[in-house]
Amino acid sequence: MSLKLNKVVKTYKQGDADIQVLKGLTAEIQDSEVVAILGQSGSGKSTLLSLMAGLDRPTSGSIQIADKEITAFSEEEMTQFRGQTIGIVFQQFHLFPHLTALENVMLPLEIWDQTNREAKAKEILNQMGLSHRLNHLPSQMSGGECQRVAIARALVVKPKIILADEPSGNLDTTTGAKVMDVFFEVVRAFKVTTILVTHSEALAHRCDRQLVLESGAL
Amino acid sequence: MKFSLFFVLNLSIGLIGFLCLDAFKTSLDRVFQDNAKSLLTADVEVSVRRLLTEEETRKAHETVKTKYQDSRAWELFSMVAAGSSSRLVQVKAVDANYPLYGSVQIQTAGGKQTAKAETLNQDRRAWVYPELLEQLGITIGDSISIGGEKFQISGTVLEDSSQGLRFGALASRIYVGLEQMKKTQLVTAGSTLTDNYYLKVPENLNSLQVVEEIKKQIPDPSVRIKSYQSEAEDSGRALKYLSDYLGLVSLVALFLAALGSAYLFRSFIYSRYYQIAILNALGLNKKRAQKIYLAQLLLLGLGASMLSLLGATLLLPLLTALLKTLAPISISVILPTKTVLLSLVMGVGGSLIVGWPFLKPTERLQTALLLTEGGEVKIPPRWQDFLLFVPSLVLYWGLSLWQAKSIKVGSQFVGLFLGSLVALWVMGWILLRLMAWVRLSSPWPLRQALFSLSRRRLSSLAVVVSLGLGTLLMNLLPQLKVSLKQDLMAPENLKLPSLFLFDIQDEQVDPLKTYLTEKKLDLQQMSALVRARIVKVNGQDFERAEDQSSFQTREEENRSRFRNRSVNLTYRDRLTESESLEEGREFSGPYSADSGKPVELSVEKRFAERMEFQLNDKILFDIQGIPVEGQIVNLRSVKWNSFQPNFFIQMQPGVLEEAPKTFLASISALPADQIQKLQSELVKLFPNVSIVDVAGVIEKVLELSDQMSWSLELMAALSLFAGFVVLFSIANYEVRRRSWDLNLLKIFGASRKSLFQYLLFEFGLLSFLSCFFGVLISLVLNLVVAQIFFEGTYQFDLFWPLISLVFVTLCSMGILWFVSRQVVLEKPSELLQQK
Repeated sequence: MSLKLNKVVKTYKQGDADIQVLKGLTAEIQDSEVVAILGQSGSGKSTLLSLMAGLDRPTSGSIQIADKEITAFSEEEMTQFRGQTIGIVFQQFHLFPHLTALENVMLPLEIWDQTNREAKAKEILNQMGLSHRLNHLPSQMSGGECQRVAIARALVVKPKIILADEPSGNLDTTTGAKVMDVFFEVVRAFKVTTILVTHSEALAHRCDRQLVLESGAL
Repeated sequence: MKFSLFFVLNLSIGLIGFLCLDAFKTSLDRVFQDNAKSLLTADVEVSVRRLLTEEETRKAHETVKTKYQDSRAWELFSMVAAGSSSRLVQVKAVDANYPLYGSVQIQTAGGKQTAKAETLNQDRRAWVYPELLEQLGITIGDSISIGGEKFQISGTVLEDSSQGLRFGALASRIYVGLEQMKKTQLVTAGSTLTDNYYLKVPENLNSLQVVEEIKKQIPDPSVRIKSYQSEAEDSGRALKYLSDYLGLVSLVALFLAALGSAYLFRSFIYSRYYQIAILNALGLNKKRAQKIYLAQLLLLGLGASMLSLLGATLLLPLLTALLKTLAPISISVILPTKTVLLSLVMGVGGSLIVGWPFLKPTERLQTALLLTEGGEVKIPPRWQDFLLFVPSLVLYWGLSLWQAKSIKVGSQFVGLFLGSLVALWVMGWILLRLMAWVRLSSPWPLRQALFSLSRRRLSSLAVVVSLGLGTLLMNLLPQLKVSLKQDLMAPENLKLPSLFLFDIQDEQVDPLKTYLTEKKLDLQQMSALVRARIVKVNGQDFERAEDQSSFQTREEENRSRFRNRSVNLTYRDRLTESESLEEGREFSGPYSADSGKPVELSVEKRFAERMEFQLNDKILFDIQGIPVEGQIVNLRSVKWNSFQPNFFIQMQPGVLEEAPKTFLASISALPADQIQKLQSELVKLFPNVSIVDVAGVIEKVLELSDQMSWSLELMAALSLFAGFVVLFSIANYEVRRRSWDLNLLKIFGASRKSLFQYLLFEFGLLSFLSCFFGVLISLVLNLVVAQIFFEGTYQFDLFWPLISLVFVTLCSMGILWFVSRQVVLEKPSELLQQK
């Protein structure tokens, strides 16, 4: 099993009041499964994603990834675990503006001091159909190309899980569809467990399973 | 909010130095104006570097006609001796009426009292400055010998209203009675002295008109006639020159502050393009949108003015305290209304000038881009936008001229400043380009730091310029001091004399030589000194220059001071080792009256420039009543720091030999422990001969340069501080702007430690290189200045460059650590919250 959420509760303070965003959420996601999480704005999708990525801690409950209880990790342990195990794709791409496509993809490999970084980065960019854009800066590429670079960057360390936050949300329909085609193709080829947060029911139906987040519960 | 805070902080730091200086200058002027009569001790002074004639003093007081009071004083250098010690002093021999205004407070055995000059004239008494007692090892009541005559010390001077500023005094002042001085026979024809005649005019007369009238009566330009008003201008000239240079250094701080503010505003307005485009899409005219930001700039400028005024107010008591060590007159520095207005103009005007070049192009903002993918709005670049910076440059040049009060110095400053700026920019640009070629495989923080530096070039270059200029200034002054010290202590190819002798009378030359020969010592470079007056140049009358109050620049003032001087001439058949021919030819040999040609003249090059003399110009001298015409056959440079007898104008031999004259000479190679002994022996044998201990003078000059330079160094430190504020602002802005990048790195697994390493590598490397470039340029400038002013003596000092390299780099890294701490430690979950 890749990911297990058990009675996850997340409460935020707003003034004197406690706002419970996630209310005892429980779910299990299997290895290589591609799962969509649907939900309306403010339903807690991003909060859930933060918790699964170990970027935030639940108020209570447990989160296991690859049989490891991530809520017990220290900040540094979580950083290390996340870097090696989890890949994240953002709606806003979040590419480094001063680095080329190739350098952006190589960066996670550099942080982990892996060998053959350039070859690995080129290979995955090639798979994403960007072999002609290796030395281009983000400002010289289209939104679709930037998102493909971001996907390549998330996959290059061969993570066990991909967490994708509305990857096509910032793109027009045609470009978004093309990017998602490549996305699904690659995550299935890599057999990586994928959790896709989206508004789009059409996109969700391309996943193996759909979970709907409503009022803080799945 | 953060932008506003940093913008105001940046601009106000730059303004503080400028305002403090303006307050200082205004206060200085006010103090000298308030005390002008006391400083001059009269309404009008007539002075000349010889004895005034009866006719001249008569003409002066006849101009006033009735109800005037007058006073007379001689000022001359002389030796005083007590026991086995002797010192060169500045003797002021005053008559019983002195001073007509102001007072001299003395400490006597009976206590503190206002001194009365009658007592000095009745008996052989002297008032001395306290340091002389210490130097000679004597106390009040003891006797000193001046010109072989004994004077008893009746008091030490506590306050002297005629003494403006004391720094730079090479010899201590001593007061004696004029009548008593006349009896010593110390002053004879040809003695080096200044004779002052003071007038107190009735209240109904205007001193300036009196001065004009006396000038008509006494046309000799070597006779200086001035009113108390021009004394106010004249007093503290050294401090005024210093404040001119301080003004220029403060402009560097102002520039750095403007640079930081411009960088911040540019970043701010870029981040507002989106808002402006939306407002425009909603129907707001782009010009009206500009006005919103102009109003914001105006308010920020106002904020900067207020903050800088507050800063200046807090610093002024410190400035007042520091000035107490320099000036016996109490100079209380306050914030005048003019300075307050200046701060408002500079703050608001500066703010608008800094922001306008970035705001103006928003007229071309492409609102239509809102509808494209990503919706990123841009302004198409246009080369004409660079012209928007021209007013700032013109304003800066204008400010430099205003501060330096000299077109030449102000323009040289702007030239050197812009040259340094361009050099820093180019060096930084080349290095950043080179960095782009460096391909390190690991460690990643260093690799990414290099990427960041070379790819975010604009912010990197802004830091290079800011820190580079600050470091340059901090290094330049200490380096110049080292060169100056080297130049004074051991001028190139020259051996300094131990003692320099002047006022040697004609009849004393042989006995002096004999005495020294017995001691196995040489009297070197014995040179005659003949007083003369320039009457005509190329047939044109050599007229008195206008009064000082009308001077627009320091150059005019200097030129006038030189034109008003009588000249000292000598004769030599060839150039000495401290002189070199620059233009023209050597003398043809001794002068022959039969040749029918004018006497050949050699003129020092810089003196010729000031007096506007050219090669082949004909000059008519009045040499003690006898007209002598000469023609300039060469211009020569002189190493004045050789401390050998040197002259602005020399004649070929065969003309001046019979004129009344005194002699100058030097004595070399005396062991340090014998200098004082020989000096005291010479004072006993030749009491009228004045002797300068060269090593002592050098020490004094270095002391003076230290006194002068602390304030310049303080202002340079302010510039460096302004550089740090710019770094702080840029680093803070960059770290904030890159918080997403940093959070992303955390998501990729980068530890906090490695993130700190990444940022510290980037900013540490940048600071180190900025500082290195600053040091490098300071060394080049030092070399250039040494070539121009010290004629080649250049001393490289490793201490300051190393200290500044370490200090600036560590401070920068400290600043970076401080500003990045929060971002590095925050959780990266914000990345998912931001849409």
